Amino acid sequence: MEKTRIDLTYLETFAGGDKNFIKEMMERFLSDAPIQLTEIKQGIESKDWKVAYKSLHSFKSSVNFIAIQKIKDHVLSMEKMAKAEKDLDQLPQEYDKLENEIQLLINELKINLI
Amino acid sequence: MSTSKSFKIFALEDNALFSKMLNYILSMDDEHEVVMFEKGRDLLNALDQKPNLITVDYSLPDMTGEEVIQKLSTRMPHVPVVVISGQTDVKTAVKLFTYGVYDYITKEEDIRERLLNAINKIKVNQSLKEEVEHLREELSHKYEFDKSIIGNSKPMKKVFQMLHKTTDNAINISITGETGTGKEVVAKAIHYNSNRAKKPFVAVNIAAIPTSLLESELFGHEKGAFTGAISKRIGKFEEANGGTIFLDEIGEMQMSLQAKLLRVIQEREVVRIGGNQVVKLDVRIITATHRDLSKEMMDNKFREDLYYRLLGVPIYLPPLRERENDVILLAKHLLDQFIDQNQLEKITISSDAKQKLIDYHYPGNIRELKAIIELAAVMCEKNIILPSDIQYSSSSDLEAVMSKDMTLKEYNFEIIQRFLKRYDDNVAKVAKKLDIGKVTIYRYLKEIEELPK
Repeated sequence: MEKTRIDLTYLETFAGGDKNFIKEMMERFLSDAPIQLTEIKQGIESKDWKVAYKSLHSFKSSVNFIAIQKIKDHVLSMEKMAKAEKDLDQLPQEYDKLENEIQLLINELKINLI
Repeated sequence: MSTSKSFKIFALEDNALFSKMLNYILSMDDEHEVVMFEKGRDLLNALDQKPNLITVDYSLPDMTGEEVIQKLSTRMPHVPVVVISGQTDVKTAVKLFTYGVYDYITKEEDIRERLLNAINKIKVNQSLKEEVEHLREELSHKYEFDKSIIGNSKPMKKVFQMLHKTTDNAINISITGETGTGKEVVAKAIHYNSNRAKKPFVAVNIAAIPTSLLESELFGHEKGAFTGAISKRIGKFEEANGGTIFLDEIGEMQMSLQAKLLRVIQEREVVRIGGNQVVKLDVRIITATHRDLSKEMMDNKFREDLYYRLLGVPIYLPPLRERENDVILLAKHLLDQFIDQNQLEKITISSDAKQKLIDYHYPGNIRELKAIIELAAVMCEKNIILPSDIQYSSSSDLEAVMSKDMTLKEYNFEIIQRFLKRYDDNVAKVAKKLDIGKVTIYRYLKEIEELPK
């Protein structure tokens, strides 16, 4: 069986057991994540590394609430690359991987919310 | 039950999800009115709404968190700022603390607890500040000149004239007067009626502090500066910064310390003992003494340069015996105060008792009158103070003289001798006070000398 991509520990620490609020946050992630991914993609495609860094930095805060450590680390490493403008040629591939992971995460969240 | 939103929080956070979370945590307390901002510029434009606390995300879309914090530190230096950052960067944190940031919290799992703790501490600090403000406000009313300094005798009118000249400036003031004339009350009244009223008033009695401790008491010390200095301590001058320091009994200060005090006054800065950090000072100095400092200066017991630095506006507080009917005004005031403090029924002073109060010469001045009145208030029956309720201290001059069986001539000797002592052997002054000729005094002195020992 495939491992889950959801980790709500951080969110639960905040929400202190308020299930409605946890649900609201998950829904918010579902609506925000595609927009944030688009911003990251645009930054990378236009080689505007500042935009790429800022949108990755902001996305990092979002995945922190919902995702497992592997995804968090992935976003963090991309953020570092964009900030330092280092290994930039790898960023498009890294983005594709991230988009794929987030899509799977979104699917999983949708199932959880039913 | 209705709750009032008495604590306004501005939270600056660009990440929508985190912003929602932050709003959720901050709104858990019914007292909080939370306003969320996505952009630094929007928050800066809304500062006229006077927030009690601002949280700032370090990474923002339109400007850096550092820029926002820098602007906040100049525009709203008294509003606490808590930085919430996605990065654990010690250098950044240290830098932000130099702008006066209250706390630096990273977006980690314990953020909720840390944030709520920080807010609680800020609230406690703010309520303490408000309490201090309130108490200062109360004090400034309590020390209004007319309420705190009682009297309408000629010598006191002169004092009031001088006092009104001290309120709008920071000139030093030197108060002289016999013991018990109310020098500290006057010093407090000057402070609380001045434009420094909201800053501290710090009183130091030079005579009450051992010489060896006085320097550290006044100027502070660093940890380990001397044996026993187990922690850093700020001195009274630093404590009074922005306000007023009252140095009572300045005439008792040793010459060596006088030189150090002079330096602090001249340079307007202080360095704690054992330290090297210079602390800039803006302190008004009020000094008081029962000694004649100009005489002390002539006798080389008080530095001339320091004397002139401290002199400023000299205010002489007359002894009670020279204040005509102020005795009755003061007696009534002190009695009312005592009644208030002890929640007693109204007490009045009979006419005969008033006369008895006027006839006495109060070597201990107002302090003595206060003791006499309080004792009378306790002793009196039916809430009326009678002459028999007024008891003078047996150590007082007049009582001591009157208690002896002597001839009229011997009484005269005794009175002249006591007056000469009181007025530092100033024959002209004694002659004027007793309304007799100087020759009469010299004659008595000669006769006293010729008396068999």
